[in-house]
Amino acid sequence: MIEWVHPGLILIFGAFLIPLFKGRWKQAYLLLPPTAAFIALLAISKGAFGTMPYSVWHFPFLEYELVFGRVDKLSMVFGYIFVLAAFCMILYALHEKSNREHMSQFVYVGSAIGVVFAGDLFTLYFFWEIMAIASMLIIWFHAGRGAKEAHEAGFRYIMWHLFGGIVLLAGIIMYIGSTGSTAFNAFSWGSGIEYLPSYLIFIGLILNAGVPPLHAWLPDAYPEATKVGGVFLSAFTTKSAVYTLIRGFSGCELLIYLGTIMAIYGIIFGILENDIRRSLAYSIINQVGFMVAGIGIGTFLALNGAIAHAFCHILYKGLLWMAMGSILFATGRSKCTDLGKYHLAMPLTFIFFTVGAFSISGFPLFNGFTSKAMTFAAAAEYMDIIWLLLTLASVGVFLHYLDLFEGLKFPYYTSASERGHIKVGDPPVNMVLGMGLTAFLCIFFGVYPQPLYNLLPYPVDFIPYTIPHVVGTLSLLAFCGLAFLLFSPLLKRTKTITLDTDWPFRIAGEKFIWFCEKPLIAFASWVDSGMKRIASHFSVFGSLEKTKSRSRDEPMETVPIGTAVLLIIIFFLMYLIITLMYGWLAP
Amino acid sequence: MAKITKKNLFHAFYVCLFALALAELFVLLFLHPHSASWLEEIPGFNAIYGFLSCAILILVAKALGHWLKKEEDYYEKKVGEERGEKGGGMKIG
Repeated sequence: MIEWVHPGLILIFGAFLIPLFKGRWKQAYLLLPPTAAFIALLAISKGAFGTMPYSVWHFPFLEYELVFGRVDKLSMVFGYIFVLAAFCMILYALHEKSNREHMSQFVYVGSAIGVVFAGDLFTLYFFWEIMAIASMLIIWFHAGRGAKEAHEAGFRYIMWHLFGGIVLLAGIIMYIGSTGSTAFNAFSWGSGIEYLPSYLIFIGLILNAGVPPLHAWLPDAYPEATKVGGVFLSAFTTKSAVYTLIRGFSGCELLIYLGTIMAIYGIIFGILENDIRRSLAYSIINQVGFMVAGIGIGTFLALNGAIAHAFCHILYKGLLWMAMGSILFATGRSKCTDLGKYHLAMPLTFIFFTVGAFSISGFPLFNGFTSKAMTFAAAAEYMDIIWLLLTLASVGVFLHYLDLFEGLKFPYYTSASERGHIKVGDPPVNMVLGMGLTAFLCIFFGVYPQPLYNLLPYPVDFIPYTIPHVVGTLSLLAFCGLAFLLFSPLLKRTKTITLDTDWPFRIAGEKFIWFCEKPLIAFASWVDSGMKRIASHFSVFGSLEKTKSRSRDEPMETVPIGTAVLLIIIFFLMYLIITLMYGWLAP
Repeated sequence: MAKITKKNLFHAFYVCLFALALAELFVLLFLHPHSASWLEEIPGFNAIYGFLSCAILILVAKALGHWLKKEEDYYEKKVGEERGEKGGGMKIG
């Protein structure tokens, strides 16, 4: 019998073989690791290695044990969707020539799967940080136009995630110190200082989920990635955080309120934003809000709802990012105010965008309908006001996409003559296939949700297609459309950006750098020159003269402040790990 | 078949709205659904709430936009002012 194989490591090791292939062979090879990972998952779920739940791949680490493979229904459903989404996205990205971009995508997906199968906190942290760095590289590998913005945004992105990582690590180490266990299971929750480790872990996890006010990295950095990179980023970081929250904090009441705030916050900021990919990034926050609220409610129905919604969300949000990526591919533009009617020549892209928009709005026959409803039913059982607010946000999703259509000026009623003079067309065939496959899955799970329901960890007793539910949903959406028709003139897109919670950091950060560059350097050079003057007195002793080789005016070799800050954080992180390991774990 | 024009589409949309409102009433009166929330059993709840939600969100977004929407080069300018330089950009990284 063959050994258990880690699906995430297939992708991570697969990444390093990419440079060996060229041209057509490379394109063929790129699809191999996700296929292999999918087969590995199928073998696992067929019970080839034992009946679930079980854990495999234990390695000794200091006095503890690392568990790379914790297999149960919860990790399997996330494993499936991650691999499925990765396949569609890699298909979409097949035309990209850059090896390093493909490699970082593979490592990113692989580490997200690693997080999902991690059975202990050290393994979780290990994959968590790889994921942060791989995703930063996806943003940094943006070449050509927009590279400078991407570089800066990637830097801000990694700052947020290193901060989150340090908080998470501190929480993990304190948790292990107080409980003596490294197992990654539900954390205790309550009020009081003794729960500090849980709070720190909680903050580390919700930062990755994009919970306000710790969300600003998401709409800041994702839109700066390449057309293809953004598609990958939309799926894995936030959804692996959703997985860890389900594992660690299901039923934590605070999450209900945070999730509800997220759901509404994402919509309002999404409407205000002019850049469509940034608007889609806010839409991620909105959708993850529904999941987070579901996790907070914590009943079987709510958790099933959150998981199903994560599953479907990865598909339709990926599809929307793909469609937007191909508009960007064809036109080089992503702002509503710049786009005009280019999309008219891209009928397939238009259809795929529509499928994505209908799915996310939760229209019957699309997968948003079959997944979202469970969370909502659970919310209605829990508290009326939460149900009302979540419904408001859910109606808002449709409003948001109506508004995007308006912004894109999709041809709901344009004549053929207007289409004539546009030269751009639909993107390369692999992009169309990637979008087509994703769109097919969106509709498939919308029409026939049973395979998805079978994957869910808790027994499902939920029928989405009842007449009252379909009629109720349709009339919510239709009357939202009516209000949109009446009020849409208020929502005119403007050539603006929208301030968010990263404002203080951006401004304060600049002030800090100014402080370093101006007063601090002035002070340093004053001290320096003083020292040199003193040294020059000693130089009368002859031979010392030679040591004064560098004159004061000679420019010093400088490193950009940003790099220095990054280095400091990395050293700090290493220092923290080493000290805590030896201080705490050694007898 | 009638030509698809903006006007026809709008008419079709209004017909749909009317039909949905009727359907909702029909469901309430004859199917006695076990709705998720008791609120849904108020006649016309979905229609009214759908309309209101959308209107509220648009108005709130519009109001917030006054404070939060800035020129595209806002951060670059702001940083330039802070440093007392003209056109100084973000130099991170």
